[in-house]
Amino acid sequence: MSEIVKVNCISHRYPDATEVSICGLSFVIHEGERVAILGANGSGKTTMLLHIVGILQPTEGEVTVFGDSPTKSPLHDKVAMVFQNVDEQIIGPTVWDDIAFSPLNYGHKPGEVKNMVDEIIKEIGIQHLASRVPHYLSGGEKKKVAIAGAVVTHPKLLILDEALTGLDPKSKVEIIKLLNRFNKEHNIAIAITTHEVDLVPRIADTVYVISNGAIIFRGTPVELFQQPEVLRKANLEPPPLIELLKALKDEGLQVEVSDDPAKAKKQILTLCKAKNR
Amino acid sequence: MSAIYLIDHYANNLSSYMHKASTLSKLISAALALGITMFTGSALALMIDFLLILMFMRTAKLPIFRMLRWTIYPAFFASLFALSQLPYSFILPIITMFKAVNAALIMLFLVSTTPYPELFSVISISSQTIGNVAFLTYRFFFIFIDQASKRFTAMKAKGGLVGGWRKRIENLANFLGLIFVISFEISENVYSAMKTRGYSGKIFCHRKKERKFSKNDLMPVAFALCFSTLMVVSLFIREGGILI
Repeated sequence: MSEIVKVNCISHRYPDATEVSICGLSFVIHEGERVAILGANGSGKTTMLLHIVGILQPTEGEVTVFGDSPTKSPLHDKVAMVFQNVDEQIIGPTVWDDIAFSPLNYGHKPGEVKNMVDEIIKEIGIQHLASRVPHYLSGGEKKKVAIAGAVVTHPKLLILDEALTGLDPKSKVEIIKLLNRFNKEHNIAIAITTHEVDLVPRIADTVYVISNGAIIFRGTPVELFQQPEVLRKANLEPPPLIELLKALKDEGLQVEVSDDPAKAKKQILTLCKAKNR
Repeated sequence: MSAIYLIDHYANNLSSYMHKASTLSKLISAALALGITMFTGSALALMIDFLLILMFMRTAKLPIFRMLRWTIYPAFFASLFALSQLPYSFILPIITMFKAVNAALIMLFLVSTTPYPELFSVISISSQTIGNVAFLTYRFFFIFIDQASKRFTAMKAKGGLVGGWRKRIENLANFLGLIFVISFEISENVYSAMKTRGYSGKIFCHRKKERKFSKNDLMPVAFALCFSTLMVVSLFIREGGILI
């Protein structure tokens, strides 16, 4: 898999003199990869994403997206982003108009735009929302519309800033399924920032943990859960299931730390049966 | 629900001859109605103009009483001016009030029957820049009102309107300062989002269904004829020196 994004020790100075640095391990996204970026509020997750899409320019360090600097060479429709506050992203008066915004800006012909929009609306299953005014939609529906507006141009990389925050559990599951489907069927690489640790295994192949301006961990979700101290260092809490299994392991019991509830149940039942015998 | 959201809802979700008619025919009818409102000095012509606009709204299935309620703001400010005219004439204050209310109703009719990108795309024909500015301003207000109302509720919940008048005015002044800062933040965020979606200084106002001239335009054309006739008659009345 080829590298599509590489971030090397960047720092950015905001107009109010706030300086955000992200150093430590280098950040890489490969083609078709699902990446989660974990970190507490204010750790610099959003700043890094804004550098990747070329909205911010690093005062120091280097960002490469598809082999070029995103601020010097426009990414066009190769990278799409879903912002934390989707209300500020939805521009169209109706859902259909909003989804058509990007293809029209990228110069697709009206007939082509119609096909692209109708196709994505069908794929995401929001046909019933097509003529609705976005303001009246629920949080989950707005997220779906924002995702539709981002993926309509078939980007190679989809960036989502806190896309799961503030959603009810059902909507979260729907959005996760949707993202995984896009990743699998269209080979879209996904980078998502979150502080919901328990959702990471369902949305990512690779996890990065940011703490105090440094990338302190890179690995798979399973590898991360075997080191809960990494999460604590980043002011995050490991999932209770992981905590339990880790505690059992520390007691010297033969258990494997896993985020899979079914697997955990099986392991605990085996332990109980062994004790009863 | 805020008026601006309801207007957007009416424009996009109501279905009437007026809603299905082309933007240009509605703009022409509205321009004629506005022309009479601005230039006539006849209270009778203004009253007929007012009734025609209400008929206009009725055919568009718009809630007339709600629309009239929304004209309270311009009517209130016009009434201040009208009161100052009262010592000189009984007719002049009526004319002033009608002018304010009619103009507001015409604009309400236009934005409640035509989704804003369609309106702005017609404006864009004459000037792309004005079209873009109008589009962005409108969208900005949607987000801004939402944010401002959330902050206002928070201020109220924290007792911001409970203290004495001096304290209330102080809190309101702080609130205004805060939303001024927020407005910059919102515009920056909206711009960033638009940039990542391919915006490069030009808004494309393409709609799923382009509205072309059709039989639906007969209604606004009929109204345009009524307004034209009224305009000519009102000019004749004015020439005759008759105010009523």
